[in-house]
Amino acid sequence: MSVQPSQHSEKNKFDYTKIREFINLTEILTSQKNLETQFNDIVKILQKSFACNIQIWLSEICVKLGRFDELDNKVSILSQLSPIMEKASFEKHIIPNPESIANETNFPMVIASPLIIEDRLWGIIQVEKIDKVCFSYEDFNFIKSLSNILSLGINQYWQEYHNDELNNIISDLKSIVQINQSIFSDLNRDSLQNSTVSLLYQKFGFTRVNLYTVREDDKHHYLQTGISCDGIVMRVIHVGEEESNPFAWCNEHQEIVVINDTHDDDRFPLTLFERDTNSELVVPLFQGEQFIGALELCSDRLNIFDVATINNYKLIADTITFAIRNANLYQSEHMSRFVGERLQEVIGSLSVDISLDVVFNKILEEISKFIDYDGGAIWLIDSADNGPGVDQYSSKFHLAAFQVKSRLSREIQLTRSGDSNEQLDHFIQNKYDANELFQMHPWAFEVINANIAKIREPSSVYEPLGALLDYKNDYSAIGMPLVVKNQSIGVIIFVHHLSEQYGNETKSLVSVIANYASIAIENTRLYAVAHDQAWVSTVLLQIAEATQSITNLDELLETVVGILPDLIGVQACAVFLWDPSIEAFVIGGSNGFDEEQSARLEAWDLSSGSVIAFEKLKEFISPIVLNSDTISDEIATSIFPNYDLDNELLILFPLITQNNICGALLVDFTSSNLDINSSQEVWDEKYTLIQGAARQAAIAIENLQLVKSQEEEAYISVALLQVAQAIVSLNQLEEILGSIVRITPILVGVKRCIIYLWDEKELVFRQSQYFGFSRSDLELMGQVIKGNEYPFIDAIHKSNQIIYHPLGINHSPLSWSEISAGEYLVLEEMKSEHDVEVSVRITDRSLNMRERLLIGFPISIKSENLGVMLIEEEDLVRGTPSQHIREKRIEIVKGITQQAAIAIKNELLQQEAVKSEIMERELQLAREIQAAFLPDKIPQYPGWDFDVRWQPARQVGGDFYDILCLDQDKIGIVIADVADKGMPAALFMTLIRTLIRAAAKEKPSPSSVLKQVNELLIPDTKNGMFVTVFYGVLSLRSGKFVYANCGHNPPILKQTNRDELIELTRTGMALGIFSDIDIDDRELIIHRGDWLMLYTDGITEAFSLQGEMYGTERLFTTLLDNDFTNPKSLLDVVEGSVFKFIDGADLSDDMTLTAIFREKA
Amino acid sequence: LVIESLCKGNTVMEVNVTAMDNYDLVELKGRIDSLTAPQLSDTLTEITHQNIYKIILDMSDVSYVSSAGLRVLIDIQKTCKKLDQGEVLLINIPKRVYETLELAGFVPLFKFFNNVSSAISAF
Repeated sequence: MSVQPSQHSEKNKFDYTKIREFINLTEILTSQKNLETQFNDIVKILQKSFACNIQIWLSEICVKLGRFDELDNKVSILSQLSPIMEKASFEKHIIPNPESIANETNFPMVIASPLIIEDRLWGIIQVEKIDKVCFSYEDFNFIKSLSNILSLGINQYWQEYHNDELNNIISDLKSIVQINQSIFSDLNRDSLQNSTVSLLYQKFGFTRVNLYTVREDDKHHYLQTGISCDGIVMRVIHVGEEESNPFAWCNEHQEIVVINDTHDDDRFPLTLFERDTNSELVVPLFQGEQFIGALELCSDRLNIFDVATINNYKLIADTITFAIRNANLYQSEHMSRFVGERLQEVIGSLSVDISLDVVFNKILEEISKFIDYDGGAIWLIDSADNGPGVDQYSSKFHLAAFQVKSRLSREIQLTRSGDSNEQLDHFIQNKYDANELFQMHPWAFEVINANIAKIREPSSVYEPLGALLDYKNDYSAIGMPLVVKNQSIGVIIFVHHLSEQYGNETKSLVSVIANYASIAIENTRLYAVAHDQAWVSTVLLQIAEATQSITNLDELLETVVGILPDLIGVQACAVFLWDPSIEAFVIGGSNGFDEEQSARLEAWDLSSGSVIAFEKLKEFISPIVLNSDTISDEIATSIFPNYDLDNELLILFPLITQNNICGALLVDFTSSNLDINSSQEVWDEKYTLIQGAARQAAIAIENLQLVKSQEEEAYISVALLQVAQAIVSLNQLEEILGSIVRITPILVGVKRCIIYLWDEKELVFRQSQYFGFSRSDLELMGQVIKGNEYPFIDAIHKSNQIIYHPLGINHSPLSWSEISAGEYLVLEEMKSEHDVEVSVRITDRSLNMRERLLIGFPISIKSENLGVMLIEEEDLVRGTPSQHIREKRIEIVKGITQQAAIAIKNELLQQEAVKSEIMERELQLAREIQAAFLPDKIPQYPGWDFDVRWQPARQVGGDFYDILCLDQDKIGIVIADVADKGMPAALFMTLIRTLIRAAAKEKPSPSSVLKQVNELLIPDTKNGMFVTVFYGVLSLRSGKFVYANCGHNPPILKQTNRDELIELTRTGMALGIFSDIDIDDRELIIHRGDWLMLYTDGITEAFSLQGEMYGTERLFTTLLDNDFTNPKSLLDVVEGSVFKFIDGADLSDDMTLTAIFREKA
Repeated sequence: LVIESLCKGNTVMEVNVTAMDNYDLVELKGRIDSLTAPQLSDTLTEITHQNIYKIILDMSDVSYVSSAGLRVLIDIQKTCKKLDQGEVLLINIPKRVYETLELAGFVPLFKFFNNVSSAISAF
């Protein structure tokens, strides 16, 4: 078929219309915003100009730019290139080529024109004539120009679109950076959650943002912080298994949930979503392997989540996870520290005047600031001799402290209006009734035997508090045993009416509290014991004072029974004496019984074998309760007709001397404030008191009998035996000394005696027990005495000899301190040949026997002086004064002081043991804390080899090391040393670690990290406390190592091609001292085959037994003498060298070593 | 503890305070470590409690200063300098002790002199 070219004249005319079209078109195209309209217009023009079919192929990018499915029907969009299009696409030129056509006669009927701008192919337009008329040359150019215009349009459109996209990406990235920054610096968890959702809401324009974080490992409860147009809401939500909303789904499957159209998702019915939610994204938060929550983003737009944006949100989720972890760490550690300090204050406020109950209640009150509880209680175990396990059937409990928050108690009152909780009232008022409660609700026993804090499961049995408060079964409770010296002494329990309130965080907090409470209890108990002792000794003192001057037995017995009931607070008592001549007990006196009862007791036949109670008393030599087992019915009706013996308390105490019964003391406890139900403590106290009184009465009785017999030698040994017995039977030092000063006057007849204890630390004498002084004298004499204030005492102490001084007739004890050096005399001690027997002799025979002496005895063991005892001889009213008796007396007192010395020394040793035990416990805790915060495993990176050694000293130092993963290529390496020891060092170390971790994520350079840490530290450092830190950032690929060294021992670098070692010396001052300090960064390359070793001063400042220091030189020699191929061998050698050097000496500080090897190519 | 450290052949620290007209001279001997630092701290605190803030520490016989010892020095220097009332000056500091201060970066906190007379003129 031949084709005719167009006429030239027509061409001109055609040209003109085309040009007009052109102008119109450009106007249209430039005013058009919509790409498909541009296409439609072009197609229209083409179809107006030619009778043709138009086909279009569009590139992938171009398809995205418009809605081409809405093009006019006359156009078909091809998904595949036609052959001619393929050629056009390949040649990037209109086909056929106009130049080739110009020389041809046959013009084509199909043209393919590519839409191209700067080599970018947007699409191809194919125009095919249907009128069998060929295209002319001008047609070619026309189509080509149209294509160009269209290309320009597309390009412009794309540019705009692209810019939008670019801008979006940039602003997204900016937002991410901003969010990261602001949440990283927030260490408060609540505000962290708030600011996170607010930022996401503002920056990304979501309709709602929710952040869920798991509540302390409890899979079903989450803290939800949500933001929408209604503002921020925080609440605790429960995620049950039956629900299937996107968050629950994410919780269950622990993977990301993308919903780009809520109307069309198989997993979730539309009803689950808020009406304005069209797309939704839920990103799980993982801390390591652990699922800790999720981020939920909802939008009213459709299809807004694509791969790129999802990745951004993943990035944000990661940041949130880290920030939450940091905040948790920071908060729990700050919290523990804070709680510790507060409780320490409470414990510090303890004194004799504050009772145990007050302290416990204070502790509970203080805790309410940290732990949300409705009710809290402390129970103590009364009987401590049950061994380590606490048995629900044999242990006795009493309520020591109890607190119910007022809010709740109101609620209780409201719900039970009128009918107040009787059980609760009963429980509070009868604190010794706890046992029954514990038997009914044995969860508390589980806690006591658990040794660690225990959280009640919602389905567990009730514990006592929850039962009393009548909570629903799923209420929360947390309990922790109180442990002193590895023995449970009680339990502390908190309850909350809501379900699952307590988790791991509370658990660790409660552990801290329980630890401090245990210490408080121990302290308070010590105070209480001291207090009780003071009372006991006052009572015994009065008995001693009342009995010591009595020389007649009947008078003595009368006095004893006369004063006992009032002093001890009992109804009545009677004393019986054993008369060996008739083999029977004979009543010696009674007090407090009515006349009839007294008469009955007088008439009682107590001959041997007639009364079971007295027989048992002789057999067991211990107190016997009068009841149907010990008193026959016959006697009960004849002697005790007014007593119901099985319900009232009559106890028979033995009067013992040298394990023989010399008499009995009958005490009637009826209607005293002591009954069978009283606590062990009260009972113990009275019991001790009466036993003490009985002992003293017995001594007085025997003494009187002995004085009668005038057997002097026997008397001395008996006297000392009595003292020895008193010491053996008592275990508290003050009690022993009190017993000594009371027995001495009875035994040897002195007017006054007093013991001063030597305080080795303060270099002073402290007044201890005394006898025969008026209160005002004692006060004036002073509790604490310095040697130079009291020459007499000082002389005894320094010479370690017995000295004496004659006293005038009206000599007051106040003038004793005025006795000057020249006025006292040293007692000569006579030693036998073998230095064994020691007797004393007063050499000054001219001494007037009518003159009383003040005699001072050293209380010493070997040459160690522990105190002095002063005695003032009694007025010589009785017996013949003789030098001999005086010497015997001195011998006895000397024997007594030796006994006292043993008791004191024993006590001192015991105190030391207790102190070291408490210290040991604290150290153990510190070690655990420290170990918990060090990385548990060393991460390994290809091409690098790491190893670490950490050896804590007994007295824990504050060493720590850390390896942080900063990004895929960079890791942070930290080694630091806190200048402190024990618990404070361990706690401080955890703080610094958290601060470094937080700062390292924020700041790129080591120096800026350490600067920030320094500023944050300053408020927490006291008393010159500082920390040396080395922090470096290592690029794994390049080996570039940027570091800052704030006063830390310089790490050592060994380069493979050099023989000497390089020290990475200081670039700034140690942290914690001054704010705004200069810190520099330094940079080096760790090449292949190089190694770096970091260490703390525990290495270089390790001391040998000879007191020599290991030092850097030795370390250098060790490092240079060996060729190391891996970090393990290096650390083995260094560690071995140090241990060999110290040769079994204790480590004075922690030793920490880190070695980093870069593998050879 | 003191006995224990004696047994190990370590010398215990000795502190000797001489009150001068407008400053106190404190002579130190032995090791300032975690065992002896509390004693030094007590002595120095006693001085500052008497409102004496010009102190010369003679370190000539100090064999070792641990980080606990550094804490005491820093603490007392901070106290003395607080109200511009005085300063702690160090004299006769042995090389090894100076190196300890240098290691932690504390050299700028102190002035060092060879004898008392040159130190006095620096107050």
